Amino acid sequence: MEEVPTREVLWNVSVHWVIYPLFVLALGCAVYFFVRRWRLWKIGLPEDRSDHPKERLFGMFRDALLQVKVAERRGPGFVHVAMYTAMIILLIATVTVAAQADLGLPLVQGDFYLYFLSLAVDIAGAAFCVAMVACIVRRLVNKSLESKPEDFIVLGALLTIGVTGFVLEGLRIAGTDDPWSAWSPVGDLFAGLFAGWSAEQISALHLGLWYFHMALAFGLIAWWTYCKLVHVLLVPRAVYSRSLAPKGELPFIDMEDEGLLTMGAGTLEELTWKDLFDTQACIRCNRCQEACPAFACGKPLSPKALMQDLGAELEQRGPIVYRLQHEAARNGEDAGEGAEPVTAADLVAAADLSEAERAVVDRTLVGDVISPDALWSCTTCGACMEVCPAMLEHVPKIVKMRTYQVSMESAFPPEAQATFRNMENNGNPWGLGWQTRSKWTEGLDVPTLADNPDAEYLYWPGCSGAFDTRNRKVSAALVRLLKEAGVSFAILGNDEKCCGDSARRMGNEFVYFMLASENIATLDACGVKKIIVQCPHCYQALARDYPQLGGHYEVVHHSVLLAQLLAEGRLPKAAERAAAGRICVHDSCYLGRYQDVYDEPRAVVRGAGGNVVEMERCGSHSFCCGAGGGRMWLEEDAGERVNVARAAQALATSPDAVATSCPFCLTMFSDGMVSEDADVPVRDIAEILAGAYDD
Amino acid sequence: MNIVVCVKQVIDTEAVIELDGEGAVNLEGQTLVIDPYSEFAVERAVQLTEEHGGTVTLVCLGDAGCAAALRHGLAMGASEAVLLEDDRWRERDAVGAAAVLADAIRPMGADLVMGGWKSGDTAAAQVMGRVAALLDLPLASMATSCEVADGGIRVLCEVDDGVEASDLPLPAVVAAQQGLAEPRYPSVRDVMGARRKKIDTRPAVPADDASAVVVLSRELKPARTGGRIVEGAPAEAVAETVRLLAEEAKVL
Repeated sequence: MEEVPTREVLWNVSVHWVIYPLFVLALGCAVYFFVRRWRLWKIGLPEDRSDHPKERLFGMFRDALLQVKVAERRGPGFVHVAMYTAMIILLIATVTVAAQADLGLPLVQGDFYLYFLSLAVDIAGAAFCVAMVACIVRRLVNKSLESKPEDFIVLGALLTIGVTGFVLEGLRIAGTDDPWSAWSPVGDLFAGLFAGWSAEQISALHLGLWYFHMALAFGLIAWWTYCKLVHVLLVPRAVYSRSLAPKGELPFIDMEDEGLLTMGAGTLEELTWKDLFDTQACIRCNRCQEACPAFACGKPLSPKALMQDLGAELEQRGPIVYRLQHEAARNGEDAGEGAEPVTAADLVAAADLSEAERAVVDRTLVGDVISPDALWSCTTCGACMEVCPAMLEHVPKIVKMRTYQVSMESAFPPEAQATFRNMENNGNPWGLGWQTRSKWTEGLDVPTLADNPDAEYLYWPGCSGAFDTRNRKVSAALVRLLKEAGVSFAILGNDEKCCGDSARRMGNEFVYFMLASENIATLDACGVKKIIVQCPHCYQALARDYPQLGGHYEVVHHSVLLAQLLAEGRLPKAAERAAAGRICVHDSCYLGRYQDVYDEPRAVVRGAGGNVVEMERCGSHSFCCGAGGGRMWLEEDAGERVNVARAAQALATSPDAVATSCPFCLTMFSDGMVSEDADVPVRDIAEILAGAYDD
Repeated sequence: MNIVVCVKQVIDTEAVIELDGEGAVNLEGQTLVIDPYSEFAVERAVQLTEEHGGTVTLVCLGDAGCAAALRHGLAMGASEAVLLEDDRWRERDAVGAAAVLADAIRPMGADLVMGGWKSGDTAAAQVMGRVAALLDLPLASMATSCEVADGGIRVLCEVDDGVEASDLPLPAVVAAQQGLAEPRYPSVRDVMGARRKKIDTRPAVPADDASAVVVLSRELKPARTGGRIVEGAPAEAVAETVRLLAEEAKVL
């Protein structure tokens, strides 16, 4: 009779039941540390992230369980997937052995034993050890990872567990003269080390090492939720609770609410639980920092540092605030109805705290924890969020903090004051007389809605398109194309006001609200349904911000409309021209990453006969021009200028021209080219296409 | 230190001005703001009370709509506001306006009276001087600095081609020039707080708005015509520009 392949489980270990109490103890520690952490984000504001559970589960399955997003990053991403897969295989093996040893299930035998428990597990273990070594070497070499001792301890412990596992296997093979040892090739190699050892020597070393291996594994389990390994639990949850809202959507603030006490985030507990959760789920993988244009240009901002600094502060402040909130809730129940609402700041200010606790809670969020320079360096370009494998939300936190700074503290870069006042008084960031808004149409014969109330589209040139000399040419080009294609359109003229995007993303919710409500009143009074914009920031405001205030419009960016008109053959002359040369296309953050429009600007360039060339950072990984998030209106002193860096990236493609599809990008690129001493023309896609009509 | 600041509401400085058939400025649709010079005065007054304690009371001659300018000043940190209501205040000349303001300020017991040395719209630059004269107080006009010193104030005032430093005893009148202080941007918290403050509204006294000065007509400055762009290669364009400056503009 053929012998069934198997091995003796727990060979040489007599009192293995000791595993279970120790395991429970280790798990207890992990649970204790987890609850401590859980309390941290409990202090945040409520926010519903449980809608569309199927979509959320699917995302979690794809990006946390299958790690699709992690693997997008070659190298480290691949190593992570390898160690993750190996760890799962090793876990299954351990559970199988336990099931046989203590439940009596005959699992460790036959083909399953040979192919999976021996061969697959050996390969997985080897892969795991190699991955650990690779990670340790990477951390030693790559200083930008800012590795902490914790990183090396975790990797070292895991590597030791892996290697001792193989030594134990080798000892078992040597000690039992295992006939199936060929199926455990790595263990077999280790067994060779002990050739010639006596049975007693092998047994003694095996037993000692077995306890060491187990103690290390259980130590790691106990430490699991205290150290960075907690990401194993938190990242899947972060992916599940990711934002499903349209990109760039900000929390609605009801400016008409008489009871509005504060706005934005002035303390950690004025962020939402998800914001705080993010700071705990961040594993410092560095992808966001590498993607951040501000960081790349030497500004004092790193999205990773932002997350980490918020997280570190939360660990100090969280437990105190958690206690105070619970005391207040208890007192509130005693007081019953009618208790005065208090802000987070009031709650902490009134509390009876020890000197040490007072020192902690008195630290200001912006100032002591996050530097104002870092806060104001963000262009809200979203590159960090695009690459984050845990789908953490960096930008909304920054905007919430800006909102508090501007609205409650009136603390912002001084040059922003003129911009805010200009928007308030004249409805445009430059403060040019509002009555001059429609001056750009002189000689162009552009109908207003008063002239043409039945127009299909409202054309919204935006402040740049109406006031900025350079961008007025884009408006003229677009008007020419719309007429050429027979599009029925009209403008608001002087009744149009700044869309408020810059104001809102600079944290001035009040000015945004004034501008937005006036615009919505005007648009609704005119019965506007469809709007053409040439500025992606106007798009963001009109299409994604205004619905919160009751303004619902179908907004189309000119790139999308022009691509459609080309496809429909309504711009026939463009197709006849084919001599526009190499055109380097720059993706605007608010058009690309925010609206997922990448193909249309390229289709327009091609439609004009251009040969599209790409920069290294293009599409969803595009590098900001430096103007988003209201940065257009702020001085840029620290480090290299973002627009100059981007212009240099464009010049590296040896283009004949650079194509933009955002007025801010156009301005920033034009300035960048001047700084780079390059005479490569920068043109909006509408100008490039309209060029085909120049005779 | 109790400071009274005279505040005026004006049309936004960037606004495009239109005149009606009778030469009056058309206010329809115009953005009305706190006068920038009044705003310098309010800012410095608030700073002085932040430094030395005391109150800032705003006084404005105007119609009900001018309350917005007062609200702005309250949001900046002023403690009280008085609106001397007169629907036809724009027809008063500087003599009339100064009389109303001085009468209102006299009983307030102010240590310091401030205001803009001129206003951003009519720019007559008379009211603060007249108020000082009516109250029989020393005046520092076109002040770019105002500090409390030895029980009085030390001011820097713009004079032709320079700056003059002087000491004034209190009470005194200080008329602000640009540079006196950089006006703050009130936070929403401040704006909301200002909404809750009450504006003391009383009729302007004397009610008689008869002006000694009768405006006959107003005319707008001719619109600025665009500059001339000299086309061509840099060297040629520069040569052509020099020629034009010498021969046509005759400035070289």
